[in-house]
Amino acid sequence: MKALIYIQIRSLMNQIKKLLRKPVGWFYMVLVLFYGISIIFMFRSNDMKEFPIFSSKYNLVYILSAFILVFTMPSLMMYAKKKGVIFKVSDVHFIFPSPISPKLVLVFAHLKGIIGDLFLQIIVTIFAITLFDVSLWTGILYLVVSMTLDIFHEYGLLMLFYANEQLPKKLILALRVFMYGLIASVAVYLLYLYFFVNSSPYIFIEFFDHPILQCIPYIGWNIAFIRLVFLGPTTLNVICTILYVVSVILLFIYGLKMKSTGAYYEDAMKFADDYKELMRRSKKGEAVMSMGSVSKKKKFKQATVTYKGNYASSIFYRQLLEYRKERFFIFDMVTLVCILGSIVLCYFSYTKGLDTNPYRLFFIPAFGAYLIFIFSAMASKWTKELENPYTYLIPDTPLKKLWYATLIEHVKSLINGCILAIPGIFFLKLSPIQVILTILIFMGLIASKLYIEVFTTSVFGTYIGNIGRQFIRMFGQILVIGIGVLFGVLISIGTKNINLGFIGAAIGIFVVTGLIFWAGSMAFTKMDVAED
Amino acid sequence: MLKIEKLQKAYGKFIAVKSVSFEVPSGKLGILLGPNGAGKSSIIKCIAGLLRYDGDIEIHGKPSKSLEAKKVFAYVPEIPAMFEALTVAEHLEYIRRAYKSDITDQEVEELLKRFELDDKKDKLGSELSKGMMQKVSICCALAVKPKVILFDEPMVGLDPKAIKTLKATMMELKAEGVTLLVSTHMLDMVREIWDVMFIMEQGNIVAEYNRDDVKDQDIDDIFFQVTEGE
Repeated sequence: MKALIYIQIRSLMNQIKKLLRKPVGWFYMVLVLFYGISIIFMFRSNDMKEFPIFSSKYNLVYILSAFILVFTMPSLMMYAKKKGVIFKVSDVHFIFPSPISPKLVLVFAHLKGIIGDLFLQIIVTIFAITLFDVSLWTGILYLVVSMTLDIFHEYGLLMLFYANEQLPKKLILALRVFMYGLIASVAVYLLYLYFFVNSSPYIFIEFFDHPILQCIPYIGWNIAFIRLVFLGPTTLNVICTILYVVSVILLFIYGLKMKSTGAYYEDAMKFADDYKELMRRSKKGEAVMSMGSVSKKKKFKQATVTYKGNYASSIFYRQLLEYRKERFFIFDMVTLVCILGSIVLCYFSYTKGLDTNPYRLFFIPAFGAYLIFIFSAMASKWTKELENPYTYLIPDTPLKKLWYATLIEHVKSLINGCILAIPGIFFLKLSPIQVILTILIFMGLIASKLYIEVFTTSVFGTYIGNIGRQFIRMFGQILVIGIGVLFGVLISIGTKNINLGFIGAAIGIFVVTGLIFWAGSMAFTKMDVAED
Repeated sequence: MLKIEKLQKAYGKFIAVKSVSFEVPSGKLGILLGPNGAGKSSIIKCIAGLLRYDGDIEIHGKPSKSLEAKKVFAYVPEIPAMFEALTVAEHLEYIRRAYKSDITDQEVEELLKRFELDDKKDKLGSELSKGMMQKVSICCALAVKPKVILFDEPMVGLDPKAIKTLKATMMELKAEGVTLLVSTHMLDMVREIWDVMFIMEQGNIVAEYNRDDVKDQDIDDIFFQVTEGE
């Protein structure tokens, strides 16, 4: 145990030391400090209490009940699937073969999760006392009991689903199926209430007050415990709380008595490999949907391509070949969002009369700007070019290399822009010229995102971390949009013609993007900028 | 002593190791040879307690999954993985605590010096190259002062001097009565130091040799004779 405590303490201290060695670390520290102080001042102000949501203990109970349903149920599922605890490859190397009890290894691996839960309980208690008129003693009672139960509950679950080597697999599977059933029935009941009984937000209050909810094993009993503490005793919540406390204690005792030789190490080892891969991909900005998808081998279609050029243009044809082998060719999540965005615009132009709105010309560019921000951290295929040594070895100019490495992205944004803008002719009553300009602005915005990425990598790549680069990218993006808007507004005012203003905005965005393109091309001259 | 009896490992329907039995006596170095996918890594991971398996594994006379067995057992995996936020010295300190090893500060210093890590002891795990990680991994295993030690492709990524040092260390361990099992593809590296050889193919041990029995026969010849019938 001392060895595991040693790892935790030394790791924490070294991480703090490492953070403070970088100037950006001090910046983050100041930011966190500022945030903490502003939170304290926020709670000291009486204005917060004037929000109606904070007026009643019932609201606190509803919030906590929702929290249990939204977070506890999926967390139970993660445990059941043996994916609730994060193991790292270093644990596999140095901890699993060591003479440390596998049960203790499990508790320490989940220590951050357990501490996080306890921290959350403290925050809830502070909120309850300061905002929801809960008395100090009730708050302390909640904190002590809920923290104790939380530790018992986490330990019991860890042992039941991970360390357990005695319970038959079929029983564990049945427990998983039961949990799925529970989640599904709660969701179906909620949907039924919303669509068939009362389609207003107040339906959630009816749902949370319903006695059946408190009768749901474990999760409902937990809600009953919260109701007992904050709202006072009723026959139902007292019975369900007793059931909750007894079940948690039994689970804890079962965990204590259970013997484990570390059979779970095999699953943990697989998890650690997947987690490492997930972290690697996330760091590079690749979109990874789930842990399960990491270990699945990607299937590719058969495809061919004819290279119609040499040197840098071969980058484009190779990318095209890769996309042809993909299941959905060049279409991705952004395409899907554009289709949905287009449908939403069509729907609102019918129902809310958007087609007569004087600002309808700006809807699609605004949507494009929004897309850039939500997908700002997501990397596309071209970013991998920076890691490929051949990108640097191909005998061609950096400008051409950058152009051909990103050309297919422009084709993608042209298609996505068309999906968004062409229906606008019919639904937003835009003229064909306006639609073309809208598509161009959309393409310009997406292109600026690409080249700002290249620019930040080439200029700041080796000096600042991912978060710092994302800040700079966001700032650059705001700058490009700002220049576009400025051009548009000035020309509109000067000429008193909104269409000319629109052309001005497009020109503004393209000029700035071109400059960033030129500056960013230096990323294609040396490979070290791509390394982190 | 390391004793494996009727070890079987399956991944779903695929059986990677098929009822394998072998033994490496104390003070001897066993080598586990075989082409890719023969099941060597699975055996190594089963012995290290990382995989579920059927059969029995005894380390120094104790079941491999018992804490008593783990106290005298060390493992050098094929791909080392460091704690990113721990320094080299802190890795060794962790090992000392986890195994309650009686290794002294002076012995740690000597170990680091031997593997040319004495000037790297304040480097974090995340700052080490692959070769350095492998050296730290070996030092950590030696810091356990084990009775049984397992090496999975230990020479990969090491520079020639480190390989020479490792071979010398292995000979010293043998002389101290430690049992060693090395899984490797690099036949040249174990040519002079092996005592017992196990050749694997498709999850089975297809041949087993003692150094005394094969006398002057070359390790390459033995291996290719078995695997390719040359």
